[in-house]
Amino acid sequence: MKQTVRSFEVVALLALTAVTESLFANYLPVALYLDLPLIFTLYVGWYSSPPRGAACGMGFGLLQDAISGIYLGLNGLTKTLMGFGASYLSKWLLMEGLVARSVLIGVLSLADDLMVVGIRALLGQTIQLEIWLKILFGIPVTGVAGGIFFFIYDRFKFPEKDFSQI
Amino acid sequence: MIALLQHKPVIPLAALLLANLLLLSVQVRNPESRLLIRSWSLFAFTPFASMVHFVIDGISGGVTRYALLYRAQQENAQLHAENARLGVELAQLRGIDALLSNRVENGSLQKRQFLFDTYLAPVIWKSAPFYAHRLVVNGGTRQGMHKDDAVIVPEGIVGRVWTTTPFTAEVELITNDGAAAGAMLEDSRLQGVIQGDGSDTLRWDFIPNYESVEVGDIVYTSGTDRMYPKGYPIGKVVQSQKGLAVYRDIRVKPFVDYLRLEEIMVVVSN
Repeated sequence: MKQTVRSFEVVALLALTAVTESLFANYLPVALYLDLPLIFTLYVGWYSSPPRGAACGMGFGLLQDAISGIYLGLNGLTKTLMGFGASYLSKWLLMEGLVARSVLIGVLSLADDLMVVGIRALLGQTIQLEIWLKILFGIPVTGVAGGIFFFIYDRFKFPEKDFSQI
Repeated sequence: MIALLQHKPVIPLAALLLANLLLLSVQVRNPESRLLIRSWSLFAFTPFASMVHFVIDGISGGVTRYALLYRAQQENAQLHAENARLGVELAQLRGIDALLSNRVENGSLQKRQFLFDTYLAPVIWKSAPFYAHRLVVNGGTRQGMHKDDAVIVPEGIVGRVWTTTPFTAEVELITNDGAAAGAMLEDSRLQGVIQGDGSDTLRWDFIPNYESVEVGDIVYTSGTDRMYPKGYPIGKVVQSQKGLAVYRDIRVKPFVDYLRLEEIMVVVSN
């Protein structure tokens, strides 16, 4: 089976992002330390071509910007790069293990957050203490959640195993 | 074309990055365009928030109304007590109002600034506080809201309407980076500008070093911004020290707990 993410799955993940981010923002703010759009961006990018990964990343990023109430294009820009980069990383790295994937997603979460902070600083916005706390807590939370998401979604998507030879 | 994109993936990447940069530059350099784009994005994505709010409210409302009906009597008693207390406060305010009208020559003009109508709107989503201090409410231009309408709750000011759609509005909290309001002290009537910087306290600017501002002083709106009603509470001074230049370094803790806001009141006419 060719490992790819189909368009309807991307649309479903976008809708899921909108619903969960709205839910978290109003009813469970602590869950916003989890960067769900980044996890979905990396997942789609991982199983897509670089241009498709970048385009989907931009979609997830713009959605996150709209919900977060910040400049449109801030996360759009960083997640475009993340989706593009994830596609290339999938060619160069073999990341089947849960721990390895979690660490990689944690590192990419740090890179994404630092880019957002950098762009905000360039735009002259105040960088509050809460942002550093978000980065600090966001790395392990997003890393572990991302690793688990990759593991479960992979098993759900690619369950075929050939036992006929056993 | 597709073959070109597959062999040179940097081209679409550059195009997408450029699109994001253009989007950012339009918002940063032109406040009017920012408003339009925010309105569109709000219009596109609020159905999700409204849906989530409707479902959660439906479930919790159902549980509260039917399964937990035994609490109604207790709540009723609390509401009676609250109503009585508010009645007393209203009587007091009427007395003060009458006093002001008698003592001040142009009493009707003085009174007008305290009279305003409000629209009660539930909060349907909030921004993550590390990104921005904003929230979206279930009410828009159809309910008479406009850009820059003041947003308050009984405890104090909340912020202003930032963007509207026919059915929803985005509110910028006073704690948001760049938000501001005219403010004054209760007793000395000392006036300055209260400003948000993205933290949970506010900066009170333009108070000269030689003025006396003590920790614990209450800060009210001054009405000089022509947005917030005059004399509405903002918060309490938690830090006041002489600054390096001309003005004091003063921090004010708002009375409103913005993280726990469930409903707000928009001042729809003043």
